[in-house]
Amino acid sequence: MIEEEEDILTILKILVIGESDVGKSSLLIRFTDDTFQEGMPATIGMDFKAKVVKVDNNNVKLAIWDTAGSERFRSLTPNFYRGAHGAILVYDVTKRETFDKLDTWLNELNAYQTRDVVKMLVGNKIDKENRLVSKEEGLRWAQKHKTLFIEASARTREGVKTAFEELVEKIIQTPGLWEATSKRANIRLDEKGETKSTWCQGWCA
Amino acid sequence: MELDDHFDLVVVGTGVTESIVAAAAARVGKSVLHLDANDHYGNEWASLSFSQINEWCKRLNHAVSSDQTMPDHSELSGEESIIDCSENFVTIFNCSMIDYSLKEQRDDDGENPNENRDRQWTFEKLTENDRRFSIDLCPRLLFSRGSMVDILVQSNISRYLEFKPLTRLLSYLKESRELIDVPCSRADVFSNKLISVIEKRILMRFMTECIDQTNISQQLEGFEERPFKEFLKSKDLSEVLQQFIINAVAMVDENETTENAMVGVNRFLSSLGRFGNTPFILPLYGSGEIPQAFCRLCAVFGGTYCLKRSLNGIIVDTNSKVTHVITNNQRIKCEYLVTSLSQTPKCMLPEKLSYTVLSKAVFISNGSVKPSNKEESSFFRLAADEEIDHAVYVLEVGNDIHVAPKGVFIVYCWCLSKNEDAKKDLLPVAKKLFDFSCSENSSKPKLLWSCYYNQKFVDCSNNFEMKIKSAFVVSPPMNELDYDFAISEARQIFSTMFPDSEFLPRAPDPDEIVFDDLLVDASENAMH
Repeated sequence: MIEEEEDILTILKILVIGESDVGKSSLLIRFTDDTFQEGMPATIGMDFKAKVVKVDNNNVKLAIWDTAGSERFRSLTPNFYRGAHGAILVYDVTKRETFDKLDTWLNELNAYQTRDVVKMLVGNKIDKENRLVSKEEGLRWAQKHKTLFIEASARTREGVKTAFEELVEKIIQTPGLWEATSKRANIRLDEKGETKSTWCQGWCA
Repeated sequence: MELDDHFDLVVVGTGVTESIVAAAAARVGKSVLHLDANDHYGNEWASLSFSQINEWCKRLNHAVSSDQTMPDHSELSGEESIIDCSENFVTIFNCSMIDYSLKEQRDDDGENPNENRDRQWTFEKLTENDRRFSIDLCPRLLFSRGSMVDILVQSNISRYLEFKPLTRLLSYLKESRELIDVPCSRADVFSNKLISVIEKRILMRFMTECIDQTNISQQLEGFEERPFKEFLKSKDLSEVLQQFIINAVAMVDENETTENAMVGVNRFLSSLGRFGNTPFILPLYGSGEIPQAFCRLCAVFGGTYCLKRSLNGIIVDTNSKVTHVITNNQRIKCEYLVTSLSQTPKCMLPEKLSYTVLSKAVFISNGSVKPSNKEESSFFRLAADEEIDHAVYVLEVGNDIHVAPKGVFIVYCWCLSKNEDAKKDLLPVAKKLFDFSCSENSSKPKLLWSCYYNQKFVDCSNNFEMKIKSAFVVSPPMNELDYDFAISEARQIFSTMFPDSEFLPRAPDPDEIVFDDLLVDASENAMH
C-alpha cells in the first residue's frame, strides 16, 4: 500500500461468485497478485483481498471477496452479500453446467441486494481447448440480464484485468451506488476503538 | 457432492453459541462440519425476511411430521449402536401471528381519501418489501465495551460486520404514560426539558460519584444488601430520576440489592462514550449477522457448511462415545459433536429437564413509539407493574440499521414468562405503545403485523448428565441483553474439547490494510 488513506475516493466491495471449480479464486489472485497456481486446491483460507486501482484519476480501493468454499453446498451467508457494490459471476467455458447454473447465482445475488449491484459475467478458462460454451451464448446471457461480459483466462492473464477494471468503472459511473469514504458513518470495530477508554465519557466536565 | 468422511468436530445448528464454537475450532486447525436443518443461518438467533418469518410462524403451528428415515442398521458393526434422530427437543411454542395490515386495507378501500397515503402499509406492500426486512428471532444490544465487542475485536471477526450506535435510550413514566429520553451525557442532562435545574445538579453529582469507584464504594457502605431504591432515596434523587436510574441505567428491579444494581450501573457507565451517545451498538441488518460472521471465519479456515441438512443418526461405541454421525445416508466419522438444543434428538437428553420460559413478541408498525424527525433506534426497559408480571426489554429498530423499509418500525419485546403465554404477558405492553382504536387522531403508531411466542430456556452449560460422551448440547438464547452467557458457554465447550488450544486468537488480515479507517468515534460529537 503506497497510497495514503486520504487519497482513497471510496472503498468498494466486489464479490466473486459462481459454481465450484470455475476458477474464482484463481481470477482473484491473478488480478491482485498476478500469479497463477496450477491445480489450486479447493478454496481454504481465502477471505478477501484488497487492491487499489485508478479510475478517472481517482484511487479506488477494492475489497474483493471470495466465497471461502461455501458455494459447494449452496450455503453462502446473506452477510457475504451485504453492502456489495459489484459482482463477478464466473463460469467455466469448458463446463456447460457451470453456465446453466448462472441463473441461480443471479437470483441469489439479487435476493440479498436492496440496491442495484453492477455485474460482470466472466467466461473463464478460454485457454483450454475443449470449449463447450460459445462466446455468443455468454454474450446473449449478459445482454438478457443486463450485465457486462468478457471472456478470460486466469492462467494466461487474458481479460482478467479488464474484467475488474470495467466493473469498477461502471460502479463509479453509477450515481448513488457508492459513497465517498469520508462520508461513511457506520462503525467498524477494531483496535482503534481502544484509543478512548476513560471512564467518565460524557459525564465529567 | 459428497461430504468428507472424517471431521474433528461436527456442529449442528448455526446459532450464536454453536457458531462461536465452530469458528474457534476451525481457527486452531480443527476440521469442522457445520450443519443446520433450516434453510437459513442462525437457528433461534436468525434474522428473517418478512415472508420467512410468516413461514416460520406457520411452520411452528403445523407440527410437521418428520421426513427422516431411520438409517440402515445393517451398516453397524456389533460394537456400535445408533441414536434415533427423528424427534428433536422443541424450544419454541405458543406461536400466534396477527396480521393487521389486511384489515386496514379492507376498511380503507379507497373510500377515505384523507387517509395519509404513507401510512397505508398493506400486506402486499410489506411483501413487496420482503427483503428489506431483517426480523430478529433473538434481538440483542451490544455494550460498547461488552464481551461480544471484545471477542469480535480480539478475533478480528469484526471485519465482517458493521454497526451503528443505538440512538436513544428511553424511560417509561408510569404516571403520565409517556416515554421520555434518558440523558446519557452531561450535554443531554442540560438540554433535557423534563428535569428541573435542581434535579439536573443532583443527577450530575450522582453520576460523577458513580464514575469515581473509590469514592462510591465508601458511600455504598451499609447499603450493599438493601434495596437499590433505598440507596437512591438517600441520594436525594427524585422519583423520576430514581425510575430512570433503576430501569435505564442499572436495568434491575427496584428491590434488587444495591450491590447487584451497582454492577449494572458500572457496566452501563463503562460502555458510555465509545460510540455514539448511548452505551449500545447494533449490527446493521440485524442480530442474525452475528452468528454468520463467526460462520464466515470458520469457512475461511476450512469449515464445511451445509444448510437444510440434519442428522439421521448418531453412532456410539460400547463406551457410549460418539464415533460417527449419519447425514443424507453418509456415514461421517467425528471426534466431537456439538448440537443446538433445538436440533438435539430427544432421546439423547435426560427425561426431565428444568427450564424457564421466555415470552417474546415482534411488532411491525407504521411509526415509531416515540416519533422523531430523524431515523432512530430506541431501547427501554419496562418495569413490572399491575399489568406486567416481569420487567420487559423493548427495542425499536428500523431503516436506520437497514432492517425495515423507510417508515416502518420493528418493535421487539422479551421477558421472563409467568404464564407461559406470550400473548397474555406482552399484549399489555403492546397496548401501552400502539393505537388499537380505529381513530385517525391517535398519536400512537398503528400495528401492521405482530407475532407472539414462548421459548424454553434450558441451561445446558452446567453439563446435565449426558447419555453419550464427546457430545455437547448448547443452550438456547437466554433472557439477556448482550451475549455474555452465549460466549461463556462457547468458551467452556471449546476448552473442554481442546484444552491446550487458544480461544479465537486474532485472525490475520488477508491484506495488511483493509477497511481500517472507518472507525467513527462518535463520542466526540456526543461530548460537545
